[in-house]
Amino acid sequence: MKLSLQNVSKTYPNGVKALDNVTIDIQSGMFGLLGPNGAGKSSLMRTIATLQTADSGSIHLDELDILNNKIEFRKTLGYLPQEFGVYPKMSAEELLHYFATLKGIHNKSERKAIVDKALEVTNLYDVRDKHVAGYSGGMKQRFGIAQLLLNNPRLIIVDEPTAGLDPAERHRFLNVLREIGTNHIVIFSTHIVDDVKELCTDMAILNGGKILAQDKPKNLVAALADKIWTTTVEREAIEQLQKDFNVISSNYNEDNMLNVRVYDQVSPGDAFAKASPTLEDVYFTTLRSDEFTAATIDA
Amino acid sequence: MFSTIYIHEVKTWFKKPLFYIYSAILFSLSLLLSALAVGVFDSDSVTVTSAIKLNGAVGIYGLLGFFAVLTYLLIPSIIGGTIQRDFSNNMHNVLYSYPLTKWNYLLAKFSAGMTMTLLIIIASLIGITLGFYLPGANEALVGPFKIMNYLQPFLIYIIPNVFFFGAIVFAITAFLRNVNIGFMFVLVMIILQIAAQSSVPTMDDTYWVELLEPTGDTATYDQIKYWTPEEQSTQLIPVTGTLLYNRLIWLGISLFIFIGVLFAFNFSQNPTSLSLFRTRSQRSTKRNFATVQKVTMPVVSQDLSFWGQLKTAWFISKSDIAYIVKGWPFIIVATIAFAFSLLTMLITGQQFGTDILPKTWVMLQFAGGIFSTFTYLLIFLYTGLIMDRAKAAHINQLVDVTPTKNGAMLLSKFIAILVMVATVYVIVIVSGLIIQTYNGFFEFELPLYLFDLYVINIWDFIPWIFMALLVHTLLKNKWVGLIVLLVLAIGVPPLLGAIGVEQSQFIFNQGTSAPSPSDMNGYGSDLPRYFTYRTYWILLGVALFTLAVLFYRRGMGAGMMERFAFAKARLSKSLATTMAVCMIAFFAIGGYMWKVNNIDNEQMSGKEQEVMLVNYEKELSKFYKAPQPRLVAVNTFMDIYPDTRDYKAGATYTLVNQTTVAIDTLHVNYPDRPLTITLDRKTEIVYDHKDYDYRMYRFKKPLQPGDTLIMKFTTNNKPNTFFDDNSPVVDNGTFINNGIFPSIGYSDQVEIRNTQVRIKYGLIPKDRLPNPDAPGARDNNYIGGNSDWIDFEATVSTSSDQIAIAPGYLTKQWKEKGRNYYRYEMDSKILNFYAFLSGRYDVKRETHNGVKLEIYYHPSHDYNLDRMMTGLKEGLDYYNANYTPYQHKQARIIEFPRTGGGFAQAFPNTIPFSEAIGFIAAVDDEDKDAVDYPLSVTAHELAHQWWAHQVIGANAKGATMLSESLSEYSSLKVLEKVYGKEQMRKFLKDAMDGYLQGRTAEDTQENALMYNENQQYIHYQKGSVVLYAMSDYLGEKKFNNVIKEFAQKYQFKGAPYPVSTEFVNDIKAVTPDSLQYLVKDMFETITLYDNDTKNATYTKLTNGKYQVTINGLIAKYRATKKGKKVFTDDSGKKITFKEGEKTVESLPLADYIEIGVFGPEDAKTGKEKVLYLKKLKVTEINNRFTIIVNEKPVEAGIDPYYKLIDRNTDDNRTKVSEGKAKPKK
Repeated sequence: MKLSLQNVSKTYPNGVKALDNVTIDIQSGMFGLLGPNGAGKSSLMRTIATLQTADSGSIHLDELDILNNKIEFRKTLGYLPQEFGVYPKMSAEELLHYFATLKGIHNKSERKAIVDKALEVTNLYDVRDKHVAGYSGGMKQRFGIAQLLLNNPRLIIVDEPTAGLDPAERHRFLNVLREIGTNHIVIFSTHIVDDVKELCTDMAILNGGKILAQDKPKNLVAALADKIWTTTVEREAIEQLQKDFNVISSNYNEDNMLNVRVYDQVSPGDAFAKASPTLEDVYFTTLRSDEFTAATIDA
Repeated sequence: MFSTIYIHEVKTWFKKPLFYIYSAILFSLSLLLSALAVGVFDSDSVTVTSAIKLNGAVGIYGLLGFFAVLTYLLIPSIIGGTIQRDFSNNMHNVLYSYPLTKWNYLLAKFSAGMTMTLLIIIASLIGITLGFYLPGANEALVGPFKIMNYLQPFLIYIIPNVFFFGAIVFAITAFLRNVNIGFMFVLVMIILQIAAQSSVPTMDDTYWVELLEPTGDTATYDQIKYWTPEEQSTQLIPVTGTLLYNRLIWLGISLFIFIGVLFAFNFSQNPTSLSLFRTRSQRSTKRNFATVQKVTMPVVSQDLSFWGQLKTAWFISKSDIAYIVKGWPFIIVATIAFAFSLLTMLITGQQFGTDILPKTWVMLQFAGGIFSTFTYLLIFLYTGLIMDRAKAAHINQLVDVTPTKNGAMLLSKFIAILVMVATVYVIVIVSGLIIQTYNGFFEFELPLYLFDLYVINIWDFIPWIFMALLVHTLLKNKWVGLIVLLVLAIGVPPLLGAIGVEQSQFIFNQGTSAPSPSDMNGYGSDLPRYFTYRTYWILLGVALFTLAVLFYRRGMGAGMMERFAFAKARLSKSLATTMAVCMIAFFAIGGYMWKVNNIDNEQMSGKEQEVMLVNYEKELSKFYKAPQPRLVAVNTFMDIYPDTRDYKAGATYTLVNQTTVAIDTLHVNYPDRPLTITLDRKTEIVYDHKDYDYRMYRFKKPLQPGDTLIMKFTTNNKPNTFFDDNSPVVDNGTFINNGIFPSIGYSDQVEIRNTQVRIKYGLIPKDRLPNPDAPGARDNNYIGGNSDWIDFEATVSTSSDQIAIAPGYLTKQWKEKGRNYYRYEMDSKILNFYAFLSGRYDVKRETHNGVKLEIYYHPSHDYNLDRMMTGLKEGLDYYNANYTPYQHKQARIIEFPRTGGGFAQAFPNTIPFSEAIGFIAAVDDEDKDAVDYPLSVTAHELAHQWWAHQVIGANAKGATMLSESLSEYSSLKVLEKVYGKEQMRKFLKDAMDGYLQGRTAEDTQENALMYNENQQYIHYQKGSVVLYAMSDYLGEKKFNNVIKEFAQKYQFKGAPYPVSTEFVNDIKAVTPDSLQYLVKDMFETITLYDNDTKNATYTKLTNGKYQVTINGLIAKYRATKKGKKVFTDDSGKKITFKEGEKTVESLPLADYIEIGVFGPEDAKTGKEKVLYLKKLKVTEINNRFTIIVNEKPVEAGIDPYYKLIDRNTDDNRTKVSEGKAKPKK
């Protein structure tokens, strides 16, 4: 199973180019879409989810042209937007039946079976007759997962689902997602690098509407081997360091010094020690090189 | 700080399209409606005329008031929106942490909202003003420009009312953060106000309503309800009395609320929740550890077939239905409608203070009518709410990515709204049953309720549901959608009319409205036509629905171009086919309607009709006095076929040349339907105009004086089809009069008499009737046309289960070919005025002093037969004793269905009487204010056997005083005889009110009673008040004697016919000099009193008697034909009195005014004890009367029985208090 996007572009009426000629193939498994806020992640996901149109380009799920067969495609789609609400005074069970009906499931016993299963999977069975509007953030996100499962979807899109979840909820959530992801395509956007690291079989980094990199996380990390260097400097030295070197990240340590990570083909000097690359390094180097390119073009 | 926020807010509004949309809608509507009102569109439609200058303060108040109501509905989205915006943008979290003072914040926000609302109303005001001065505006309808006329309504009503609604909406938004609740509040207030206004005219004492109704409209109504056209055109609305208090009270309340908000508001983060039960808080923890499990979802089948989608639509509509029906906006509106219909039934299901029986059709008419308005509002409102519901709940993205098709989504909304309407009907039925039960009326007709509402009426709403779905699909903002729908429903039909679009098939959802059932005749023949129209509009509705499917909003917001692109992409084969099929069927039915209405039948627009009447007059009026043979005998037949609703009729007219010249041409007005005329001498048709339906036969040999011409004709209705009703015959209760037969000679009855229209078309202005002393005025009577007293005989036939009736005595009755035949012959001469009736009747027969009395009634309508019989008997007794003898040996009352009208009419010895009046009255004999109108209407119609059928006035001004006023007087006397003087008070007060209201709507000129031109408010209402008073002043016997002698002089006499002037002279002849002024005041001029009892006190005298002192003002004035007050008499004299700052003016007085002192009401009869009642001579405005009575007084007053015409009768009486007499001022 393969989702492939060809030259998908989208410009908003206010002139923002949300998607810039995106071409990407996504295979079964967990696919992480990483990018800073405003990178175009949501635009991309909404476009795939048929919630908005692309100005140009095409999207296919295997042979299915989804932009022109929305209804057929939606039968196989599970989508969880970044933010969503629910109708007040409706219990999880009622709402799930509502969604199951919207997804075309009319056989009562089938509907009950899948609703119950969704409740069970998301661990909401005990609170199924409580109003969803009164759920906590984590429960609500799990409800979001429950509703997207109802049509046994082949393609699942979840947009920044872990934002605002406590660690326990986040883990539980990711576990569920991971379970589902074994047999389906799960596209999962986030700006939290750890989410991707822990889960994804494939990933892409998106910024400014463009795909900057796409590969398996471990390949991306491997590509940076021997190119990441680290040192510790005083606060005052950092500006000079940024001028001289390709600084990827700098974090305070407990001594109020800065741990600095630098990207370089060769050792930048004695003060630097070689570091093993992380996914975060991948993320930052990718974004940096893109910014650099963009700056060069602007100049 | 204030100005920063204020300016920011205002600027924000100016950047929003919403402000411009609202302003543009109101501006253009105002412009169009005011242009319409002053006749700018006269070139395309009927000439607009009015006796009132529309740019007077009253006119502006009325026009602006309408648009103000629309604007009040916008207040939630403007004033509420201004503050709501900070919440919905989550700005409040930030803003509230800034160092703003809440005073500045709230004041600035509120002021900005007020400013914007007022600007929108100003746009409407500008529109109204511009409309008056558009090219083509009829100058006669526009007075001189006066800025105060515009400012006053704006200052007195608009600003305080916007402030009031604004303050409350502001409070609701600030605390509850819900604009919808604010909107519901405004809606509820408007509904309550409409409710108050529509029930006020039926209430006796509106003092509290005037004070407590927030918009001041009720108080204003009370101030101006009796204003004549002149006053309405020229005066500002006086802000005094209850209106002033009302304005102050509500300004105070608004301020109180507003200041309350300022104090109570704090910059907190959480809205106040509106819940009855506070949930107890508890510590909650959750399981923070969970296990990983295997996820294998069960296999399900997704059914997206057509049937599957239908199931989906039905299933998901349930959520919307629950949202609507359990939502409190619906509950509130339904409760109000419920309360309102109960209230309406309790206070308005009345005629002359008497209830009508709560028959099921009455319930359906009242409750159904009230709910219908509410239902439209609910449809317009809730369609928007449920279309926006997913978005508002932020669940839309989840819903939108499901495979359910747009059509199914929209269909679910349609189902939800339809179920809502069906739910409203349940409430209608429940309120109907409650009212019936409350009234102890147990003839429940549940099947009729269900049939009328669910089988008939519901179809009327469906096209609008489709329209609402489309509008709310196209417009994202639900408030704009609501306003657009209101404009479509209320504003567009009159505008279409203005540009000459009159045929209902071109005006959305118009055409034969839902027929209302009659006990006698069920739904008649209207149902096929009703359903044809509904099908026609529903087909268009479905097409609109498919359009809505194309433009259905799904996914992220899209621009206009994008939506069109979507629509194009969505245009599937099935949608295109549906739309095409609907449109083809729509046009096919429309084409058929058009053919029936325009080709099979003559269709004329109002404008064309107007022009035709003008041309008719211009071309033919020269024959008005052309000598014609007169009709002296009619021998007619009428075959009624109730099953097919057809009739065949014909007559032999005997016409005699009674002139002194030879007549060479016969002029015939003929009906537009199959007709054959044969004349018994050789003629040639020299003129035949199919539009005028006018034909001239030239005699080969002229008709010499004294010659007789026999004219025979037969006629029948054009065939009825399911859509084309061409016959007045109904299944049960046919009532046809001789208006369907041809008549002889030019008739001036159809000429246009409105002066403004006549001038426009170059016709010389002409009064509605000639003066009594005009030459030739006394040649004809006002009913019979070209005839005097005729011989009459008729053969009427009908189906075997019905009885057929015509004037005359039944001389023969037989059966032929399974049909009933009746031969009626009249033994004395009658007017050329007769009718045919047929129905399935029961008959009640009695004989009274040799006169046979018969009532032909619908078998279940036996409620009031005895009262009607009493009316006949008592009437015969009184009229025979006081007037001339009754000319017939029989008097018959025949019931006809209410669908034929709600009146009774007197033909010779035959009185058709509508089922809607009298037959189903619920007379409460205990209630002294409830008039027994089955009796009084019967007495009135019986009196016409004298006043019309014995003495018939000339076709001149004042003619109806001799028929209608005298009949009304006669029936009052019968009522008084049966029930006593007490019953007169309510009747006369209502008559006075009817007269005073009638004259405010006079479109030409108000005439004095003796010169009235068939003006109903004069000959009925003023006539009854005046004749009753005159009889009271002169003495009943003396007055009746005048009438009797007048009748003896003129009964059954031909030309010269009697005129009102002679009757008034006869009264004058018996009137003492001291009372001659009465004749002038009451008959010859329009004279009104202003009697005002200021106070009354009593002291107990040593001899046990009581001395009562009454202080009061008595003034009278005349009114011109336009209603201008005149205080000087013919010699230019007037009297004045200074009452404080005010100068009271009056005509010079030498009048006898009744002064009364009353004791307590009798606990049993409810009648008050009269301690003193005398007419005292009055010569001054300021008066003090000192009267000694034997018992302790309770009330006293000047003209306590309202015998004199007075615009304010409420101040005639006052309670008598103990104490020292206050000095005369």
